[in-house]
Amino acid sequence: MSAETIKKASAVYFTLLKEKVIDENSEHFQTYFVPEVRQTVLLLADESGTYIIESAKRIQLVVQPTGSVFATNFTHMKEKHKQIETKKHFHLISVVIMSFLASIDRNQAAKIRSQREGISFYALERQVNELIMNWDNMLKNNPSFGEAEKIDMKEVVTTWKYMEVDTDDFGVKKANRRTRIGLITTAMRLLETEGLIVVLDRDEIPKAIPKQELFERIEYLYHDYDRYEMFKKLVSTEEEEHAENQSN
Amino acid sequence: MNESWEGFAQRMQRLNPLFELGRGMEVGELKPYLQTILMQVLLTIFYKELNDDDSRRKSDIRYMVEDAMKQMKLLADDKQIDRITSGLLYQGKEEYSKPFETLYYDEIRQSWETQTFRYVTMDESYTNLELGGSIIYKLTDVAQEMIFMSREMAEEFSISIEQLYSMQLIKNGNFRKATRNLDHLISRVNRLLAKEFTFQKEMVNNPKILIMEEEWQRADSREDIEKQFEEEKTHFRTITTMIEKTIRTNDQEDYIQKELTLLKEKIGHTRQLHDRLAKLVIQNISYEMKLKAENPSLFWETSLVSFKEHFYENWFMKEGVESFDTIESVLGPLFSPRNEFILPLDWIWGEQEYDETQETDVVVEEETEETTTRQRVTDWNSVIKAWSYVFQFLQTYGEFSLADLASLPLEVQDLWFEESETIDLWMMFDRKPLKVQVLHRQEETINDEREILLYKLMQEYPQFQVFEGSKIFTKFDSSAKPFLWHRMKITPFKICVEEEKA
Repeated sequence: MSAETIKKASAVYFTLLKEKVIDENSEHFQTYFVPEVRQTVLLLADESGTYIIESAKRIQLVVQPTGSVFATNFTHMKEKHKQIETKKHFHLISVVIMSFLASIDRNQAAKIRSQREGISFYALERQVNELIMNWDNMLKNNPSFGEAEKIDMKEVVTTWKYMEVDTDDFGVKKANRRTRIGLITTAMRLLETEGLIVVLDRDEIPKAIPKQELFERIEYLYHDYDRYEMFKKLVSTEEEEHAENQSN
Repeated sequence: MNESWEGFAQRMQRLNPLFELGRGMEVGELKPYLQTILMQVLLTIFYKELNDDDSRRKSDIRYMVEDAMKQMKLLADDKQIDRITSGLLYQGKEEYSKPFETLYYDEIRQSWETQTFRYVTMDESYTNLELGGSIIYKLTDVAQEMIFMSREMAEEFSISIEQLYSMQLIKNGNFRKATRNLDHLISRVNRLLAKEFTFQKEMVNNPKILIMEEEWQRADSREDIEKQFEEEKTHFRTITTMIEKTIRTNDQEDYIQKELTLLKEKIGHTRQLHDRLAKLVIQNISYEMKLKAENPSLFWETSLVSFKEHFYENWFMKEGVESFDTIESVLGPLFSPRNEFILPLDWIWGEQEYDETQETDVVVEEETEETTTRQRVTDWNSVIKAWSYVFQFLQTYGEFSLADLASLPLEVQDLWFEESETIDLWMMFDRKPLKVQVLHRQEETINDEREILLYKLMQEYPQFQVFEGSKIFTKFDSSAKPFLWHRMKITPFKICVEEEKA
């Protein structure tokens, strides 16, 4: 590995850190695809707990599920919701993001359609509700299910169920946080800040339009069998640890 | 099965959008007129598209409804107009933005199938996807076909046919109609152009669509397509010659000459568009072949796993979650690393939050301000008044520490809470040093809130005009400790002013 390669690779990596995305028009884009440079950048990325997502149009940098030294907009939001009362709202925001991903993650034809039409916040509310009602039934049919380790889920279900969908009282400045639409707005805002969606018709019925960047991240992270296995394994270790903590 | 069943499903799919138009709306006595109104609106959108007019937002469509009804001497209240507008855009409740659904009978499968369609959809070439804003709509193929159907031309609907039809009209001396028919031809070509552009974009982003989607499979080979384009070009030449000939033989009548000139211009335009289309299609075909030849692996790999099925439906929905750490591990990698230190504004925001132990609920609400989409109206008078004290200090001492806020007279302190903007401005000053240059500017041209503040201060209190040209920046006051002021935790920054260096 020559000094020149390392120099080039770190220029690419640090630009990625700063910009998150390098598109094909950037000088770094060409540099990246020089095989030795690419290898070095990938090494840097792996050592710092990040993934590099490549496509024909751009490269993106995201954190790995574990072991990353970096904070993200997501962890930042989590930090802001540390208290018991606010934590469940953060959990709900995560649920909203999941439901959103599920509703745009379909075959290619549907992908083009959802890119064109977007998902209205109200349609997303229904989608989330379906999941929560499913969980609600699960908890009801199996009461012991809700004990001990599933405490998070129960709380999230209850919070959602007792939340208004929307408020008509627009005059009150701080009113809409405790509504479902308010939560969805926050979740979508997070994705928007990340540059993954566009929100249109903000003043009418807001709609979230996924961007190509988001589809590329989904494809890389969740459409790969090995990575799916990795997530599964990761979670089962987490759950074991969790169970141990409970018994301690 | 007799011939009455032949192509029945296709026929019904073409007719259903017509049958569905305006159905299921609760608009009382207006019900019998709905289809007529909506058809007029569709035509209005159609012509706006032809003329590259982008006033096709939802609010514009609402206006078209209103306008059409006025023309038809129908009366409606705002609620009815709203209902009719949204009824063209979505089926059912507007909130869900659902497409229209109807059933049709499939004679081959011998079963009932659902058809999903819309009349209008987002016009990507006009909607500003970078800046947000409102969706600009265009007709879907379905709606456009309704328009062509009403012209009895539905069955054979291609560029060549449209050209032949135009020729027919010119031969019969029906020039005005021929000009109008060219509109349809232009629209057809425009549509194909847009489709090719989308295809090009999609192909580059995601080459897999070349094999996955039937929609994008070309029925004809490259030779056939080139031949077809050649044929169409010949048609254009024939039409032009016909017009030229007619112009020469009709030199007496003035109005005919005028119509012919118009027709000629339009043909010229159509021809250009057509040439562009031909070029684009051929270009796309070459690109497609190059992709297939150079990157065959792009087409093999089809993923077996999906988020929707494997993560969402079969995992989280079916099994629930043991702890939310699970979901966080899965969602975490969607996000890029962020460097805390290049975002000082946000960083300070963190500290600025209400003290969580005292008022846990407020924390939740606080973010709403960032996320509410409604516009806030700032009472600048109050902001200026509050800040005038700070600038008085700055004028006298050259600096002012945030810690001093608490020592201001109580009624001044109250001023700081009248408008959230007042406090927000503190954070803005911390962003980067501000060189004051506002005195001789127009208020409307100023975007930076700090500059607005200074501009207004100078207008209100002329003594502050001395700040023009100086530099305002912040320093961390290491001598002071973070302090609590009205339940806010505050970092004691100092705001400083530096005279302009000559």
